[in-house]
Amino acid sequence: MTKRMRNVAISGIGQTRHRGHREDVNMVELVSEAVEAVLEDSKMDLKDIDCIVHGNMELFEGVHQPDMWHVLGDGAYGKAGFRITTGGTTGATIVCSADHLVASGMYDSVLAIGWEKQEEGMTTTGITNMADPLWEREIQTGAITGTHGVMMMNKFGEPANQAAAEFRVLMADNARKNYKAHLRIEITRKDVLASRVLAWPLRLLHMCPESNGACAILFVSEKLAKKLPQKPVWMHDHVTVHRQETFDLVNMGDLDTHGEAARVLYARNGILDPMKQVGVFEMYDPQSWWALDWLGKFLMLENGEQIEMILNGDFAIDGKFPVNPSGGVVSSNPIGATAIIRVAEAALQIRGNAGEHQVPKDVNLAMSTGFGGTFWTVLHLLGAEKPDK
Amino acid sequence: MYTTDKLPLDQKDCFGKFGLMSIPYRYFAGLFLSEAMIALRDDKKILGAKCEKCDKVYVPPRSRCEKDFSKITELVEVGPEGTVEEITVVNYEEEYFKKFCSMLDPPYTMALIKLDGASTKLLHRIPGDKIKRGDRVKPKWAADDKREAMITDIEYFEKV
Ligand SMILES: [Zn+2]
Repeated sequence: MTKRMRNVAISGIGQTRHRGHREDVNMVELVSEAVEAVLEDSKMDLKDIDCIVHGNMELFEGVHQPDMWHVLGDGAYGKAGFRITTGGTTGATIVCSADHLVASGMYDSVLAIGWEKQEEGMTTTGITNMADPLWEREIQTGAITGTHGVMMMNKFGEPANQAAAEFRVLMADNARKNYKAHLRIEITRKDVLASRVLAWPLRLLHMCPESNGACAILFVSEKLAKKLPQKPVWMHDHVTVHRQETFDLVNMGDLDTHGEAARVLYARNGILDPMKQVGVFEMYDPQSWWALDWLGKFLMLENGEQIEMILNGDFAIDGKFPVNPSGGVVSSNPIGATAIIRVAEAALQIRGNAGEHQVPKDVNLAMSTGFGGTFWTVLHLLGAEKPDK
Repeated sequence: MYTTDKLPLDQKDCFGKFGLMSIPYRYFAGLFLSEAMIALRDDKKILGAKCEKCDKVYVPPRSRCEKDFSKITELVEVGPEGTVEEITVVNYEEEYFKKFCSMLDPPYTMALIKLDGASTKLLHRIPGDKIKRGDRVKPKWAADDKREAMITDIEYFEKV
């Protein structure tokens, strides 16, 4: 157990519908929608919120300091606040920050907002500037890579190919139950395997879309949580692990940041069997080949057991260990919001009011992850009961 | 002797890369604010957004009141005349700006102008350096075929 000055609860969740096109609103208006939704969900009066933590990807919309601009419509007027931008993990890091701000006693209520309006910029603009200007920037590509797919194919052969495709089909099935998801498509394993190759064995249907969307979560002290109508979801723990910021191509295969995060989180929280003790897992899956590899890393499956489990349907909403009931990142990816959506979806499952994609059981513990940069991971653990209980 | 005493170093021995970052973007005004931009282009009208709750009229318009978080749904015509409230004089041409933005020939005045009926001030420019606070000004519209639903549809403001 980590040391916590005081308990922190999620008492409100707001999301936009994540869409490929949102020409009908500007950036500020998109964020306003999520803020309006979280105020409605929590019944919190905006004037009682102490601090706003705001985040998205650097350079993606080409706007410098969007957090300042967004004061026009995110409710931050006259409040404390700052911006966090840690690449793909941004949404998860905002949550770490909001948790710290409330746990420390500095604020009683913090609103965390992650957003992205990807149609307004060009993903590669931001991402390529992460690489070393002399050694890498002119040579590298963007976020599309088949590396881990090749590794999985070399290790497990055709069953891995079938499982990656089947997991993508499961995400589509789940997304069709989630009104807020961007891609709510009807696909079969055959469709996935027939879609065009981006970087073998990664195919078009394995890859996430570019979405526009925002997500806001209200974090409050225990005292305040008791006054608010929603069932509180308690913050238990979070672990951030990263190895480097430049690409270490030599050791790419050994980058076990996910496994390291999981080992630390499980050890600190008495988790011996994650699939028994944790009820649902919202994993940041930018593509299905990564999902296939990372399920093994996060769940401590050393011999590719996840392949069999996927083909068995064990990760389905009504399966043994539900993963991404929301449809995951391959179904919606407004990047700055993506990792906070994982936390929001995990919290909704604990509350029990996720809607059509609610898992059919009581969820006591839920995990969510954020992913970005050169294998950064942020792993969150949430619970139905207070962590000190 | 410290290395810092010899700066700058010869680029032959101490390599530096000089690049240009290009950031492509599209910006969507949204349905509500588009009406105001289109009014500039098609009708030479300046619209502000009026908050029903606090009566504030925002120019440039916006769809949320930053103070009370109300959704704003009403656009009202303001100006076209207004009063100069704050000024600064631009005396130099900036090469980079000149390349990417439209500029007037210096010296010219940058001004915050409170248009009649608005609660906030609009940033624009006025030719010359003889402008004073309190001066009354009106917009000089760009030609019909030059207006493209941007603030530059008003070329500049000039004394009434
Ligand atoms: Zn107002």
